[in-house]
Amino acid sequence: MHFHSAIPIKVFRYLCLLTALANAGGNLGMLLFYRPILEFVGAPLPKDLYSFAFVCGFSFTVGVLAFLVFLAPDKTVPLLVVGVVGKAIYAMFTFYFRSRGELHPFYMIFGWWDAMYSVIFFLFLIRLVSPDLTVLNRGDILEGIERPRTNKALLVYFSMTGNGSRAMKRVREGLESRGYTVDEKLCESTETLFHFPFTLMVFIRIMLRAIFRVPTTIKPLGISDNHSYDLIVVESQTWFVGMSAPVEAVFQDAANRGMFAGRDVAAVNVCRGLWQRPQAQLIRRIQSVGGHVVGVRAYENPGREPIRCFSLFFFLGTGATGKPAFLKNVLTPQHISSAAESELVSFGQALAERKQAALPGLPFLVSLPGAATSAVRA
Amino acid sequence: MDFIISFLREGTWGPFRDLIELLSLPAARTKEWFLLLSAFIILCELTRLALSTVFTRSVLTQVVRCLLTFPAQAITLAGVLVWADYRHPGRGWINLGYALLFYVIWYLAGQVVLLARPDTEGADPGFMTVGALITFPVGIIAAII
Repeated sequence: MHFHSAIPIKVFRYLCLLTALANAGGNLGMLLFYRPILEFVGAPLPKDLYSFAFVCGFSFTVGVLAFLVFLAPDKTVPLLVVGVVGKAIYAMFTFYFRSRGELHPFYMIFGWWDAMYSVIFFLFLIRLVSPDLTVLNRGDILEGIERPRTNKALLVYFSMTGNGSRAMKRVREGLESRGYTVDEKLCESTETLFHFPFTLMVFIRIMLRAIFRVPTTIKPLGISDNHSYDLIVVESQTWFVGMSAPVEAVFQDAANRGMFAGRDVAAVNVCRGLWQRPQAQLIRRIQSVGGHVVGVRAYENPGREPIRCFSLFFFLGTGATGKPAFLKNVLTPQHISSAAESELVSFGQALAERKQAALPGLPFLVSLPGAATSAVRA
Repeated sequence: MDFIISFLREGTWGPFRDLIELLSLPAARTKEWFLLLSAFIILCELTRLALSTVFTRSVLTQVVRCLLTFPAQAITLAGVLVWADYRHPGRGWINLGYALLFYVIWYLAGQVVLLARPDTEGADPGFMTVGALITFPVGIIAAII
């Protein structure tokens, strides 16, 4: 799981208020008292008063922008993008003209301030985008849709090297231990390209297709829209920073879309290390076909970088773990850890015990061993 | 036509020439190019992490994110090392030291995001190392030649 403590949002909000006051108030002060201020710091008076006033006005506007972000951060995310760009450009020009000797050192205060705030705004932006994913990654199991429970679950997954099927086996174990009947549907591509082990050329083709998101097609899953499963669990792995093509094909095939509509769906991601974007892609795909995401888990393979990354390359290149033999003792496993597998059993159990929605949209927390507030590198 | 020719002739490429000159890493302007390249590295890493959860179906976003995982930074730094050694021979090894420092900044920029968002990947030292395998061999060859 991936959740750790972070700077509270209110700290970012008050940092926005600080620059709002500094930009709006400071520039008003500069316009009114530029003569005594510049005289005090030993800076020359502006040669072009129009440009000076224009820059003050621009900076004042960014102060207003920062104040709006302070007031309602979740509703003003695009303003933060403008703030990042505006502050970064201002800082860049300040440094540039200072380097040409055309700017008094006094103005570097503003240059550094804006450089710092372009980073702060960027971090705040990263914090604020896709807040629903943060809720899911906290480990919560959300309330399920209000519909009759059949205690039947369907697992949909693709597994080329066996890591995905290993993870889903544990989810199945958890669900079955709580009385669920579980069926599985393996995504089988209609192309022979997606197999393992593979040659270098096949690897390059898969890589390029993953980077450029070239879709594939899969054999029909054969699940009707009015199926009896009350829960679907979808698993995907990371292929070059994105979700794997065969799993994405499930959602691209119109015949499969109805099976998710109005159903509780959970998402599981397994990977070497880059889990965030594939997870977001999987969740958005599920939501786009009307699925109600009730829980997510993402696990990295165990081991420390950079050896974990190179272990993956050796694994993909040789088609087997522990090769080359002389590196056997340093290469890391190509599957999730036993701790992660235990957590997936608990995840399956928690999914089986999920509550039904009393009031749509309100999360209900199921106590779940292992889903804590600290990052667990699986 | 005269207007267009005049318009183009009167254009200024000064800032871009300055930029190219700065990227040759002149010793006299160390502070300036160090800030410039640090800003570039930080911007790339923050953009990469900001793109993690948005525009999930966009091919362009996917390609950009793949490039920002390591190739954009690694190839840029490699190019800068070659250009710097061409313009200022004899400083290749010093520049390699600075390149290492940029990798440290890259890592820190990724890790600082962990402070901002409770569910994020942070830096990826695995692919950064792959990037280093592009930057440093190129830099070393440039320094030797």
